[in-house]
Amino acid sequence: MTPDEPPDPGPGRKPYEKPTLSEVALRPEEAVLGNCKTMGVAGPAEGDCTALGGCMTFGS
Amino acid sequence: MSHSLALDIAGITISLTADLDLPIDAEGAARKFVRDGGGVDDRPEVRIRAVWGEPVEPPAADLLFDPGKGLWRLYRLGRRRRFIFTAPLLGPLPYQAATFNEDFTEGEVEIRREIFGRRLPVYPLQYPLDELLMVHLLSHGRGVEVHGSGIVSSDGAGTLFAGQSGAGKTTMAKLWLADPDVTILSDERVVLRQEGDDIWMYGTPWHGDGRIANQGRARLRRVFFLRHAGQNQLAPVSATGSIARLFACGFAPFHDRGGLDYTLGFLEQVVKRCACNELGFLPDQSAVDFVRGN
Repeated sequence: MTPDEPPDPGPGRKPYEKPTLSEVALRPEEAVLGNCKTMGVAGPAEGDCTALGGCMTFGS
Repeated sequence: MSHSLALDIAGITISLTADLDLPIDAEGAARKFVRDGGGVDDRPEVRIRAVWGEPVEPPAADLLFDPGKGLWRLYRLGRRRRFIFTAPLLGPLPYQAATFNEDFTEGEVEIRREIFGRRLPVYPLQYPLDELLMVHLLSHGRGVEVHGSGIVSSDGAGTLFAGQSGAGKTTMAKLWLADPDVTILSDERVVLRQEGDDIWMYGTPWHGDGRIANQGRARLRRVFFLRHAGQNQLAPVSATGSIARLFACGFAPFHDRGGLDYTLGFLEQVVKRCACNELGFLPDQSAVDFVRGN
């Protein structure tokens, strides 16, 4: 066995796997209801979007 | 015009009542979630009263969470919580505020009359309050809301296509419209809840570009993390990777440690009970056939 080789895990044990790091992107503006997909704002001020009558496309 | 209303969203009954001079009604896709008969339920899970008011911004020292962009902010009021809503075109004063008890089951919505008084009836839970309320209710042991399109096949099995904006949720949902045996719960947001050993997926009023928002629920069997690709293909995702991806697609109260703990624990239960894979797909009918075959 060379120094770079992992040791034999022995019978019935899973071989060693080197830990890996993976990154999952979090989009803050989508996760906190901070935007409207269509207009960039929400609420009754929107022109043809909510206009005191309901949001038509919610922020993703 | 009515002064009471009851909504049923993801199995949670929300009762709304208002003063006699404040007529209320649901609006947009929320109309599909009004309880049969529309009246107030005898034993709702959530009770909300709407009143005319002149809401003001609490002191900055009480600010609990600000998502930016100036749409809403959350303040602490002792053990209670107070949402403040502003819109650039309506000036600096809040057009609406909502104060809730600690577990968000009782609340009062103050609505500024000078803004809404000539646009009656009013929907007291207009976006984003309705969804903020749902996210906080769910984080108290009820479930998690997720960015995803949800379909129900003819055998009652639910499939969730999860993804952030641009992943293809609406595209995927629309591909299933041609199948009369499939029910589409949403093209944008679903709620996941646990009953016994089963995870249930619910439709919500918060639709995407496809404007698909339906009442209903199904046992969740499969989760696909969507991405556009040059061919239809599946790739396995580890359990921890699946939890992380669901969390990235979900809504959690980032200001609330207990709520975050619960959310992560719940997503772990989802991943234990449902097959999770990444789905690269072509935006045509071949994707539907591919999903059916896998």
